[in-house]
Amino acid sequence: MLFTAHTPILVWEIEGKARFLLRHWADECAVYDNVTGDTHLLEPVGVEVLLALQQAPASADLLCKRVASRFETEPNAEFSSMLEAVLIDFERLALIRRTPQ
Amino acid sequence: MKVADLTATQLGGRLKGPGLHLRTGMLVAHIQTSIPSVAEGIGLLYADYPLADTEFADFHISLEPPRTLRRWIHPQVLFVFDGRAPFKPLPLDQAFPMFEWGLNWCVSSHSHQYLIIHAAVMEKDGFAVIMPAPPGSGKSTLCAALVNRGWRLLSDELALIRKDDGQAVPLPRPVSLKNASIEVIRGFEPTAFINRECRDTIKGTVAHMKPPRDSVARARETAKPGWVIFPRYQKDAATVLQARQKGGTLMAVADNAFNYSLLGAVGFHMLADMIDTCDCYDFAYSNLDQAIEVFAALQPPVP
Repeated sequence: MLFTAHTPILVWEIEGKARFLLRHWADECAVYDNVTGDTHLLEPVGVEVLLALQQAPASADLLCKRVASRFETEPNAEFSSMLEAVLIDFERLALIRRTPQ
Repeated sequence: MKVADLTATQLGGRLKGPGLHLRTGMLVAHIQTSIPSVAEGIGLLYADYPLADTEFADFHISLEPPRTLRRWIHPQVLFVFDGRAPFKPLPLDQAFPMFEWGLNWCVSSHSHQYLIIHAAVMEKDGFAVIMPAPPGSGKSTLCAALVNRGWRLLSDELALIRKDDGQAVPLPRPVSLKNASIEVIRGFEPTAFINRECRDTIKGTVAHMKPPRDSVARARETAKPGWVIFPRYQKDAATVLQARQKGGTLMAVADNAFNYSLLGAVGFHMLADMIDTCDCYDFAYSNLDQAIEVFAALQPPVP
């Protein structure tokens, strides 16, 4: 779990519509950020996170379930921990942000 | 009319006076200088280049000694572009290399109608191989070897990718050789013309190889990018061509582009489109003959 029961409920979101341009090759995806002008190279989990958040903001738990289902895997602690690292990384890169629900 | 149609006196006179409108591919440079070594270098290395039959020029440049007292003790040269000097002066005996470096700067800093990649580009059978690489990778040495073995030179420094159609646009200019690579190319192709060496520059000893006449004659003939290859010279290395992933290649080419960020989303689309249609490789080499064989065996990418 990304947050404890005492943590205020937060959702992750992408600021701005149609913000990213994506190009896929095999298991790589290049992402151009229209806001920052940066280009990033993402692995499949990262791409699914962005695609999910482009649809709608989501809590970490919901995101974990959605992304896990895309990979036909269980949203277990290991997966959750890996996803948390992706979210923190994306926040650092200003690709996503967390806001109160 | 070509540069070679002018006598040395006429060339020097034109450079000292009204200037020379030199066409290199799609671009025209208007050049003025009273420095004999620059006139000599242009006469020798640009002999096959056409003079533009227009007063229009993309770049107006001049090379002159700066007007300071220092010129009497340590003669220097100043590169002037559109009336301003973007660089500090260099010793006068580096005037011709400064002309070449300055002209590269003019293109890479201003020709934003193209995506500009720091890369050598050569063409064969309509397909261009784009070789981005940092200094020291053996890019220019390999480029010089390839253009002496049937590949057409588009550029040894600047890949110009056209926005409209993604074609590689030629900018054939003398191939810049540094340090050991000068003797390597002299040994590899004794008939290649390489001008006299200029020592103790910021890049070490430099010299320039005259481009093949055919490359200059076909300087307005674009080519479709077919391969992106990152060369890496390593002493005694085995010759190895290894496929690389496209996403990582896009990032690496972007790192080697001069104006990728400036072009924004357009640059991303252009680069991604180019990577889509190219086969991408890393290439380690130490033996030029073996390298030539590997490049000769490249197959056009499957659409």
